[in-house]
Amino acid sequence: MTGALALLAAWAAAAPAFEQFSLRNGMKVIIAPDHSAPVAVVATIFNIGSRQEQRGRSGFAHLFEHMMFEGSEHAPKGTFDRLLERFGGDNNASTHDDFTLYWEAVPANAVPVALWLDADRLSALKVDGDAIKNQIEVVKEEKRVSVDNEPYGKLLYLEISSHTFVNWQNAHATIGSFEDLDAATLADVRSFFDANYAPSNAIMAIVGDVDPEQARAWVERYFGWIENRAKPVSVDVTEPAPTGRKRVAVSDPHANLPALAITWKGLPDRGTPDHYALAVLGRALFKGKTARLYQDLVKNTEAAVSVDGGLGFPSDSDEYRVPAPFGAFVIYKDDQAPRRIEDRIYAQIREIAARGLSERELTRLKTKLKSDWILDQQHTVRRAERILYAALLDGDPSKAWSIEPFLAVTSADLKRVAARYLTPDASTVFELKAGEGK
Amino acid sequence: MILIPAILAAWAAAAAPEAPAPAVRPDMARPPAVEPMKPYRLPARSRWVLSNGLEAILVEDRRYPMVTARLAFRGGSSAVRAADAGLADAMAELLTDGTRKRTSKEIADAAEDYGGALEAGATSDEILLETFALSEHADKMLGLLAEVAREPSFPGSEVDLRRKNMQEELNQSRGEPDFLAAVGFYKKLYGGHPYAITAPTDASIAKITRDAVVSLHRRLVTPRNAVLVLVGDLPLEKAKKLVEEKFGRWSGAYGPADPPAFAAHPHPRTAYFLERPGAVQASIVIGNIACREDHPDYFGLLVANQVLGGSFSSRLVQDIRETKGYTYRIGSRLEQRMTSSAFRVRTPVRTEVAEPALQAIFGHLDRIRAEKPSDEELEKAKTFLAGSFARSLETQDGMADLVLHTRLHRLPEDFFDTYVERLEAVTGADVLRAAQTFIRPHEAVLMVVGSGDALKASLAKFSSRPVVPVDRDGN
Repeated sequence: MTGALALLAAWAAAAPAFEQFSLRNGMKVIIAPDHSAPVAVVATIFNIGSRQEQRGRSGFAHLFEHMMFEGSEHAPKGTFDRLLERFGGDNNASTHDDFTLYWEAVPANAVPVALWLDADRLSALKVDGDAIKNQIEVVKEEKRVSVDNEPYGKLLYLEISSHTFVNWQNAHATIGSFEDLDAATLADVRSFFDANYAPSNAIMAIVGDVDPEQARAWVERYFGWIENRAKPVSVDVTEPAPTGRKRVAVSDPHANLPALAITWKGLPDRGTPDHYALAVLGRALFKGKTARLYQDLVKNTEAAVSVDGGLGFPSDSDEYRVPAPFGAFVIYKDDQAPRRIEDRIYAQIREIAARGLSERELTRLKTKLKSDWILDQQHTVRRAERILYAALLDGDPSKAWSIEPFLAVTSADLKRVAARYLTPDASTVFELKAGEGK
Repeated sequence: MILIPAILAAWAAAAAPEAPAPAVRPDMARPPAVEPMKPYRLPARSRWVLSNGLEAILVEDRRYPMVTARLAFRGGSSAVRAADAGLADAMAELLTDGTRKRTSKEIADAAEDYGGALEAGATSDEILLETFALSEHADKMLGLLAEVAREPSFPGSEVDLRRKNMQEELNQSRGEPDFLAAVGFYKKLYGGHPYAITAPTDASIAKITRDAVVSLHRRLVTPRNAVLVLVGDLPLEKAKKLVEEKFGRWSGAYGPADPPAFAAHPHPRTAYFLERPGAVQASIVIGNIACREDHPDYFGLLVANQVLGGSFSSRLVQDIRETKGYTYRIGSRLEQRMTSSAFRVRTPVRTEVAEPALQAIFGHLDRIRAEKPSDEELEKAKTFLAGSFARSLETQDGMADLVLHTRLHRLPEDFFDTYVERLEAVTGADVLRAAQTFIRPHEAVLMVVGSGDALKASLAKFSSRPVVPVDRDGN
């Protein structure tokens, strides 16, 4: 271990401790005190994402996320934001393939207010038909702005999953279809809540300037009395093994430059050595100006304008869970042939499969990995997210403080995973033609 | 079959909870009473000036083993002529594409070796280099930062590549409705002022040469024109020694004059329209010239903007999104430039509802000028802004940005030290006066990117003269 890494390991080991406990109703809670600034975050992750939706109900996990802000028994519509802002706080939520996450960032004195608001919506969510109609319109606008009216939006948010995956659970879009959204009724929303928002289906993290004992007392007071309900029935998200290269041609009327995307599936479980190696490989290929594909496609051959990708793409690699793919996404110049871009991507993968990375490159990559981790630690919201990802996806919140498995990746590991997983046979290739229909 | 919840059961077994106390439903009727917010201030700064004129500021921050740096030079894209639009951006980006000692790849490698990254860019008022490093590498970080600023070699091949890629990036941006709307909006808002130009054109990109880049570098990137901000785990004495060592023996001329103050010469409200075939939404920007942060009415205006469209519980979001369902996102903001500032509202709405959406937005702009906000709105806006300020100081980036902003915009040194107090002092009457002075819907620029004659006809209803078509360069 080099000096820099040793120093960092020492710093990480000294990182603040946390405590965890479960309430009687099964809700899990993690408290991670940090008194460096008088702010705190209350964040909750629910084990329900778009992959767990039922057929004919696409987009429900996300629509429901919107409904969680539409009022509860003691905090009618509009109160949630108004009250938090009244105390200087901010909040948001996001729906992912495998989970839905809510957070409130507040000056530390307002933590009990955030807990009260969260408890009221978890115990007594109160939505009406008008609120649902209104939020269906808002979600349709969200789809228009990020998918229908945005260059490359359809590729990234609809087509990649619909062609990469066979199982409908994985293939349908998180944003859902207009038909399914329009069909949503009050009864549907209620039954979605009953099925998925049981306290035992949630993990909460309180991170920041709090006294752990006091915070625990608050959580027990506001959440301890809420009755548990049955956990949701598990959904089969198994994806059949890839059966050879698939090619998909798509067009985008809003894009002015062509693009090529490749996804690979059939990847290893989270928490295995291969998972960590693929995460590091993704950084080596795509992240920043030192990345192999940036250097090759943007600088050396001058064929592309931008490259992106990595494990889990288009989602973040830290929320990776099977069956998420490994992805590449290149926006390239008009005078280039898509096959040439594809060939260059494979040339770089083959290069790593054959020779791995030099000691110098690997050390550089790991130094950057650690400093990126410290950057994340500076944001209380990011820190809470990392703790909840570790708690839900790794089953162990302490993994949020441990980047050792990434630092343990060797050049041999990178060779192995590049050769084993990123093969043409496991791939779906998307050739996006720009400007059609203009 | 993958059983998703199984992992949660394993987690519960691993945790070792004590037997929880029997739970009784608490009084949920009202939110809990809480303690007052703890005061939080921008930490102390140390400021010194080198004999060559370079100004350095350090905020010691021991929370993380990291140092964050900003090196800014006054005069960004506003320091070049309209015909040279893009030159400042190109020069800035080329700083990291080669020095006398290193290639662009070697520069990127070096930044990652010290656990950071090095980015360069131009805004309307500055050329900005941003970097960070593990604190034990502060020395190497400052060395690289000085090297790219002082001795860039601007290799011909890199200049050619930047010019070609800038053209490609422009083509790509022209696919984005928000980009097109912004280009047109600032063009019309700022008229012939340098702030009118926010994007290059095909013609201005073609003019970028190595000679032009070198001469702009000589003009802007000089120690007398520089502000260096350091935030991090770095003692003052060491910082002073390092800065002197890396930047001390550098000389150069004075920088350019500040851009002229913008004399607003208001016109009655006019609608501008860019046809974007196939658009399913109308991308709307509405705005007018406002005031600098050192204007006596600024804090009143800040609160007025907050009540109107500064956050989720603001009037625009609650009405246009939460009640009417016309949009996913809408907001208003104050944008500060060195010698001017703009107030603007921005939203994309589906094409069919553009007219009622505009009616509702202008209704809110009229109302904020007609009556004081309620006491609740006033309190909420002030506390939210104070809380946002505290949260922005969480990160070294956040601190560095605030410190740099104070210096670049020539604000009073204690601007952010007294920020919360001055916010708290704002009254409803202050808000009303500021809104009446600086939110001017009757003189606003209304820029819309969308598709269809029906949309264009709707816009005419909000314009004092026939709708003015604009092209993708905002002309």
